[in-house]
Amino acid sequence: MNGSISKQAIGITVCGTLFLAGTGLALSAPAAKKPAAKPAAAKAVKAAKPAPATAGPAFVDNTPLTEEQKIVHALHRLGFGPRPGDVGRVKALGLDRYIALQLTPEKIDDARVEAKLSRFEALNKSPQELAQGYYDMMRAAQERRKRETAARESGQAAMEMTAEEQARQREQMRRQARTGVAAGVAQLQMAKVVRAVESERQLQEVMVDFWTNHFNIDIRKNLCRVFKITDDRDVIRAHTFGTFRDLLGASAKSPAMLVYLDNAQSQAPQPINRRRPRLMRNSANNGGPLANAPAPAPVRRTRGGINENYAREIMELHTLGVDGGYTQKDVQEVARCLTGWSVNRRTGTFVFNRRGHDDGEKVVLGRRIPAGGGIRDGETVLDILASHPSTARHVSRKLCQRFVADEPPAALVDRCARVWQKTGGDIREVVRAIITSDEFFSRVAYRQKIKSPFEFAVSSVRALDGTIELAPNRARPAGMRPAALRGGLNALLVGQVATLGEPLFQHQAPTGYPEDSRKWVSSGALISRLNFALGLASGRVAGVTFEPPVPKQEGVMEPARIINHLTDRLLHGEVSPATRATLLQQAKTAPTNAATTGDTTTATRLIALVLGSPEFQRR
Amino acid sequence: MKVTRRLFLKNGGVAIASVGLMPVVGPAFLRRAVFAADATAGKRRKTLVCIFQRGAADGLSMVVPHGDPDLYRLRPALGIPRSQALDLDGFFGLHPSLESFLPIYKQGHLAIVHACGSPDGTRSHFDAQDYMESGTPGKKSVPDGWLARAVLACPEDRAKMKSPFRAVAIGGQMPRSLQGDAGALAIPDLRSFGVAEAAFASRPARGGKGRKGAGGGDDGVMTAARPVGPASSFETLYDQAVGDVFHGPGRESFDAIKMLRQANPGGYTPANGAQYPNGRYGESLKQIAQLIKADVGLEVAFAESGGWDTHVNQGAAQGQLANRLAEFGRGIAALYQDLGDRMSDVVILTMSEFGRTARQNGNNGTDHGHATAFFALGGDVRGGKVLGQWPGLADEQLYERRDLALTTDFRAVFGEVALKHLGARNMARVFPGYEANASAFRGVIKG
Repeated sequence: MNGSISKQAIGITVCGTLFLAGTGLALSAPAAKKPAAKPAAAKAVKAAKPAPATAGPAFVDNTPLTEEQKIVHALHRLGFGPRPGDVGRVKALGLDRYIALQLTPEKIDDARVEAKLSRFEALNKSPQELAQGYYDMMRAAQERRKRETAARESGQAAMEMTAEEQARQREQMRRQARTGVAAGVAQLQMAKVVRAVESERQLQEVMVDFWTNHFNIDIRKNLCRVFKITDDRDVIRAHTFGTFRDLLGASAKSPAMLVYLDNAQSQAPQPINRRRPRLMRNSANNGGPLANAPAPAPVRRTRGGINENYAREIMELHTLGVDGGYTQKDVQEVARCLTGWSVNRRTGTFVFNRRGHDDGEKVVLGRRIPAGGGIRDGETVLDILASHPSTARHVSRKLCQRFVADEPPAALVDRCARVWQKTGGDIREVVRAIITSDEFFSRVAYRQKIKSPFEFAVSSVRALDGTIELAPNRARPAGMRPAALRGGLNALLVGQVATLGEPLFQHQAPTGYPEDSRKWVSSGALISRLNFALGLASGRVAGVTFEPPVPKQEGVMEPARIINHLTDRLLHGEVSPATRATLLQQAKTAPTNAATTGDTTTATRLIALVLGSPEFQRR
Repeated sequence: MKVTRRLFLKNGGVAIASVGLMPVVGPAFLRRAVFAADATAGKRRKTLVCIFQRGAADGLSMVVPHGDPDLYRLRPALGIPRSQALDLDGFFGLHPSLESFLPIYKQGHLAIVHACGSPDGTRSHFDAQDYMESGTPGKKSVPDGWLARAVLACPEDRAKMKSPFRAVAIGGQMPRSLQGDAGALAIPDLRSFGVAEAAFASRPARGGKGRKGAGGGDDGVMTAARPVGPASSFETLYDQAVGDVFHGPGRESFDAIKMLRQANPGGYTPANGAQYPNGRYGESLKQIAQLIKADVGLEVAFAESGGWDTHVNQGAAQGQLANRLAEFGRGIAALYQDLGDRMSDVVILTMSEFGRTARQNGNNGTDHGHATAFFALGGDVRGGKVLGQWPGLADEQLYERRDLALTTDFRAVFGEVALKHLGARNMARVFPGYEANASAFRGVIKG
């Protein structure tokens, strides 16, 4: 492979760096011209609503939430934070009805976002098309390397191509950038951002984010690059509010999961010298550029059959939980049950390879699975795991962590687990039990979660009433040249989320990003957040457009009035006196000639300060 | 609101006056203050620099077993001829591109562990890097990295001195090795580390009374015409958010920015005529040297190097791999030279997820293999030796009859460095399920 292995060299150079966003903002587009605030003498202003202590020591505030606080809370937890006007809309609709509606996303019209997403062609491709795209990319990379080798050997620099060859190569790269594997990955990432920012089906997006982490897949692992697209569409989104058994079953047969956790290559030890069908094999699937080339090595010994990775993680992470009551023996037995669950390389779909299946008797969690079960062995395992009380408890607790608190109340988890058992793992009903509970609307839960980087970035854009503008007829944000896109997504929201510490679909370990939001607190993370706040406020995140939320008024504006306006809109009044004072101080330092010079820095600074404030990091 | 002067306590009784972003506090004072605990304890801070060769570096070409005749049978075109290898001990020789390593080896400050790597048999870059960085071969669900756990396993008194630069990766994203609770920083470039106030510097706000408080201090120093940038207002915001979970990290962040500003990374000149190779790899090593010399409390640094996946046209004494090795070696040698006497407290450790096939393939390259060679340099290193056992290259000696077999688990090397150089305790926590103890160690570190 040539010298362009990037941070996480996985064996693809063609577009391997495209979605590995790296450094911080490096753009300098000027902010939109807006009338700036003019400083004026500070006047006594109506005090903002008394802010509840963000983290009061030693005493527990048990006062019930106000109606407005309940709505703000719901908008933060059922979605990615309120847009201006959302609180009023929910108030008009009624909070109960809003919650009920969010639980049935199919009843919410989302045509505008769907239309926008129709640009992202890769998301509608069949598994076969996607798989073929991957093979084409590998072949092209290999051919390019061969050409370079040949050129080098004939003493001719690879640079010295005829004009015709150069044109062909440029065209190839253009096509690759628009329709290739990397474009698909970029579209998957951008679609997630667009939906979170703009979709009316906010709870669905929150739940998709939850399941994406629960059934984590890292797209950097060879075919996961393309198969995650079908996983997102046909597994996660198709079963977001279905039954857990259906979701688990779809995930177990998802080519992306089968590749990511190696079950695709897990096979019972085979009789020697029997040619195996064209399935995933470790040695043929190691991510190297020759992964799909004729084997060059003279020796290809059959590798030791069973792979336990998926069997272990499906119990530890997806269902029972690490203390869910299984043994290493159970891991081995589940692995045997799942042997032969693989991927058809050509069609890019699940296949059960009977010849690779261990058809002997197994015992899983004390239950005997008789010999000769074939594919039913795996289905039985999924039945056992999905209906196990440990699963109800483990997944319920994670859901409560997502929606309520990092240390969720035990009584609530118990209740959810009971709902789970009673409804046969009906996800919608479990979520309903959580988000209509007293614990959910309690002071203990209110504003106690730290936003994940994704939540922080998306809620910032939403708070500014921003949208993601796509370039005309292109599946990329406006103001973004394809060349720049090739160079990295840093300037895009997707790249910013990566810089903030949560590169999308790129959590390497199968644990996914943590539900315990305290994990996101660190000094490095904070610096990134402040820089994001500055970059977004000053209009340096490509594709994101918004009107600065300053009061529409000519002439002199009182700093206090601007601050009230901003904190009402962006923080819904939840601002500590200290933060307020600092904001006020900043507002007063604005140049007095702002109105005549068209200066926008004051408004920009204030917005950045609010987005970067401790208050805005919470939801 | 009135903020006059902020004094805060750090490390049990050492006070630092912190005034906005002004360079009021001299660097020497700052350093002394923050790391007084080190000085009083009479201990010098040890640093480990890890360099990950991503893509699977070919151990058989880096450290050539020229005394093993099977090498030239397996690699007629790619084997480095005995005459061109830089002989180390009559059996092994360095690749000619690594000539800068030879004097360090002869001084006894460079050790090689050959036939080293992960016991897991995967040949996937993705999985093998994952396992090596988590430190748990075969187990995927461990969420944090071995280096993060090693930092946390260092003694309590050191853990208390919370330097924001305790663990640093040079790069845009946190490598798996440092993910976890060690509070590691991923820094793409030291020169741009901080809060991007530059965006606003073109339009400085007026000085005067309105500025009082906003910058975090009004002790008379800040009367100079200087923008009250958002950075300093951010600092005030977090300084005042007492009780908030971000209060501590906020303070650490702004301290870190100031400490780095004192170190002036933009105006750095390497010492002793050290010349780092151009490019990201060389730049990252240079920045690590800066951090070490700035005495900001660095204990663990992480850098990476790419381009090792030489499936096609690998080359022998010259060619693709030779070029990669030249850059790799020059960078490490420059770091070694630049740090000079400080190398007595620094260990540089290299690693790669697996090696390459013992045989050359049909494209004059090599495919994904098993064991490879790791380098360790530094004053604490028991150098001048090729450590570990040589498994041989006869067909039946090869792993799965194709790759260099493994005789040293990478955790034996990582563990020894963490324990004996960094002073980490509780190795069971650093490498769960593995006995990282004297019986596994290869004698990489003195003592």
